[in-house]
Amino acid sequence: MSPAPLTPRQAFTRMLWEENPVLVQILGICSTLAVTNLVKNTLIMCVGLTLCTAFSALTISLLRDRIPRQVRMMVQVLIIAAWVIVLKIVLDAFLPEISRELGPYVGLIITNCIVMGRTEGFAMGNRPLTAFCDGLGAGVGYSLVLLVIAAVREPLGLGSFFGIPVLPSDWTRWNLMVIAPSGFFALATFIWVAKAFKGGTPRPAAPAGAKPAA
Amino acid sequence: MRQRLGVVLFTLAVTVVCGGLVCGVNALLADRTASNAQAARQRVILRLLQGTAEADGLPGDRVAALFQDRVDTVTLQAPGQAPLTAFRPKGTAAAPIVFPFRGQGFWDAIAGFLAIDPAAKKIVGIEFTEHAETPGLGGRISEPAFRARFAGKPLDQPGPDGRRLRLVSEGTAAQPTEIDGITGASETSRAVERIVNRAADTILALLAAGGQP
Repeated sequence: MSPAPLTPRQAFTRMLWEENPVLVQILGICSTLAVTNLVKNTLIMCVGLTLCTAFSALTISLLRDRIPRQVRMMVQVLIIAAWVIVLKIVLDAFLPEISRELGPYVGLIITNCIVMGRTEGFAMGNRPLTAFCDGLGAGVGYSLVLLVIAAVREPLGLGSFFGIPVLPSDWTRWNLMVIAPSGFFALATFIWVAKAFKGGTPRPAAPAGAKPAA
Repeated sequence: MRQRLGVVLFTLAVTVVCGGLVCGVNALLADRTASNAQAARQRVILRLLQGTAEADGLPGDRVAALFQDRVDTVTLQAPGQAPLTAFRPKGTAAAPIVFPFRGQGFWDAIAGFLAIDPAAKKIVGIEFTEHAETPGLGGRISEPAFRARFAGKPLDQPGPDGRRLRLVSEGTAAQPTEIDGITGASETSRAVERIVNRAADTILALLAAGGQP
């Protein structure tokens, strides 16, 4: 996919802004809409996704020369699923309260387009350390966007930040901000502002492995 | 042919390794997960029985000891009724009895525990331990402010349609048997009303039939 090999450092940093998976590649929209109404849940979700993306990319990059082309997607899903289930079990064992609050979202990391997009689009063709950094960067880039959106949605929708009330108690809660449609509005506004800020760099072609948000 | 066999064997190997990893981690942490779940249940029951958050900060084994010390687990039985597990404070016959309940919510099952004062036929407290309602809307049933609305509600004054309690639009509860629902979560409010009323029907029928441990 990429002509010049990237250093691990470049692989990490370019995912934060230039190639941000949510803002530029428009991946991972499903969870961007679903979990961003509470900052705390968003944070745990982001940490989980970052770890899963990074370790899946590392594993697949280690195996990349051995994976038969015909079944590469299946193998990727298998490996991603294994990491996500491990994460779910670890959360259940060590952070039971948060695990309960996140409910099905942790398991749904398996279907997150970013994980698959990075393994198929990058880890399959790059060295393990670079792929690991790329996955880490994609996760952190995703987290930055989600945390900003959550930091707008939670105060407006529930009058709190990180569960602590920050707005006066007579604040009229915007129910719209709590439900999924406001995720679209917040995300669209964010992308608009980010694009304006970047000054119209041409959009790169859609990365391989991109799929419609499900 | 040989190449195809290679593909199959490779996929099989990845499956076995991934499956092994998941099973291994699961087996390693199974005890911890089970005791976490157990401790979470026991914390809820202790909170409802004592009305304090004494057990909340304690680690799992301390909670188990406290539970052992304070709570009797009993099975209430009466002729013609399905037996029901309940929890009561050790040593006293009075005070609340805690019953588990379960029913269909808006998205998925809602389960929890209901503390009832058997003599006064009033709700003492309620906790939801399991639900998948919309976070921030129906999910607010687990917030203390919502749960507090149930405290002291009478269960012995059913309306003409048989509903003992009714969840009404938020801010309009006027009667003793009315409870403020949650704005933006009408379906969840309706489900909670149905589940609590059904649980109360079962429990009160059992108690009226002389349900004894």
